[in-house]
Amino acid sequence: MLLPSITYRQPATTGELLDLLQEFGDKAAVIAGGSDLIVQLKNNTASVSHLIDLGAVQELNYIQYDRQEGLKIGAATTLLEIIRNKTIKEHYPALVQAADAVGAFQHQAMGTIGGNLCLNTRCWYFNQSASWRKSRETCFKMGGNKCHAMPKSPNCHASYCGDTAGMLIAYGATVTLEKKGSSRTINLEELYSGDGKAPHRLQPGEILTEIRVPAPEPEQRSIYLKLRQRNAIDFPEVGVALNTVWNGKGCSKLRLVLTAVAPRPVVVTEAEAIVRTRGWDAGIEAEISEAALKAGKPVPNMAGSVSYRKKMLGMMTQQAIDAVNPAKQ
Amino acid sequence: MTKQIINLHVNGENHELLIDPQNTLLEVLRDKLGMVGTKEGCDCGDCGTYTVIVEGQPVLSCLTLAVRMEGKEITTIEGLAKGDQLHPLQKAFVEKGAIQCGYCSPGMIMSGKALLDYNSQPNREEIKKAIGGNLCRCTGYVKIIDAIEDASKQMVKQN
Repeated sequence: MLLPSITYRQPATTGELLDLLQEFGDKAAVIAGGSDLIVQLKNNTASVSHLIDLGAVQELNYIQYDRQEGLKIGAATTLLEIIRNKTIKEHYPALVQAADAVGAFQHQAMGTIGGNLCLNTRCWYFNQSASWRKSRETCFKMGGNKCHAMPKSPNCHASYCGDTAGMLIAYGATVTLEKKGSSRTINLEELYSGDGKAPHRLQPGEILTEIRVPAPEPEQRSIYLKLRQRNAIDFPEVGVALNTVWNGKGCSKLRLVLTAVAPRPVVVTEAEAIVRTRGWDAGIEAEISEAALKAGKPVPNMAGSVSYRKKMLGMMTQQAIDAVNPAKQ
Repeated sequence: MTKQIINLHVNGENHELLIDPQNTLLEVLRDKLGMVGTKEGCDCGDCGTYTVIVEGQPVLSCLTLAVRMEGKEITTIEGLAKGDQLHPLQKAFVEKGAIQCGYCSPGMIMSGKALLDYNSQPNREEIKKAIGGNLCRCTGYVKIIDAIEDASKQMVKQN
């Protein structure tokens, strides 16, 4: 497949990049790794005439750790750099698991953490070539009036399938979003709109520049589990990101975030509340799995039947809890 | 859109080329440089036949814009042998029967090389992980893993 004609610009600094984004407006997109955007351009599901190279901005590629401040990662840092970083492996091992779950060796070498967080939502009926999609009515995500996955629904149900977002949200990450003249920092979960058609709350000309993760608490234990058809390449059919803190009595804090079961990463707030208010007791694990099953609503827009993915969601939540429970090691 | 001149450094040689910004590295390697060892498979990042090494890392050349490669060290399958002398990976692939139709082989070898350049003594799980992005319809993968394992031993011996 040939790419459409584009103009390519390679800014040296973040400032230059933001200037270019403002200059070209919605004619431009940033390119980092390119493993999602280039495919979309080939499929004609994205349409821009200017590509601005975020991956080339060296000042956006860094990993810094401080015992009090925690972790800071520049958006252009590759997934492979995160996977191979000993400090991240020591203090945030589940972030390494999540980054290592993305794609395969090549995708990890090319792909950036910012790109993975800003991954477009996915659907069987959207992620297809232009000629494939021509055989069907235009869907909501492409500006039409139908959802092929959920035909009776008035909304787009394309699913968010980035592996690192759930884990970073579970770790309590914040992100910095910059555009020319302004910068804001939000909790990572606020970046996601829940709208399959426009999944990220980014203003025109705005990009994600930095991710910050709080310093780990004592007895913090975390895990990322991914269900996919094969052990490489595939996007998640279900992703379970769990971050917990333990004391002598059991788990005192829990954050559970699900991927691939909605147009956004789903924070299972009910599970958090159960642990916060009741403390750890017998039967609580089953209630947490129940809460996950209620919160995750997979739709038939990817490999794996809805019933299978729902079953696995419950089992993976239980597996994740067992994996982090010190009493079960 | 206007064509532009880039300098591509491939297998130790510099090439000055006139390209379109939307040309992928795969297109430029095959169509402009005649280096057809790197293959076009699915063209969307799911098969690995187009894997080359850029600055030591394996990349999907079908999803890489050539214009972004200015000044970067690129290695393709053509760059492995030294004259008639095959690279240990290539030799191992031949000797271990890891090649049938051969279409996946360049990509597999480049992923293997990227692994061995980082980790000279990988275990079999690490080898499987490194070639996870490369599909093979012929061999069933076992002999490919054997070949990379064997090459790693030969390379350690040589060094």
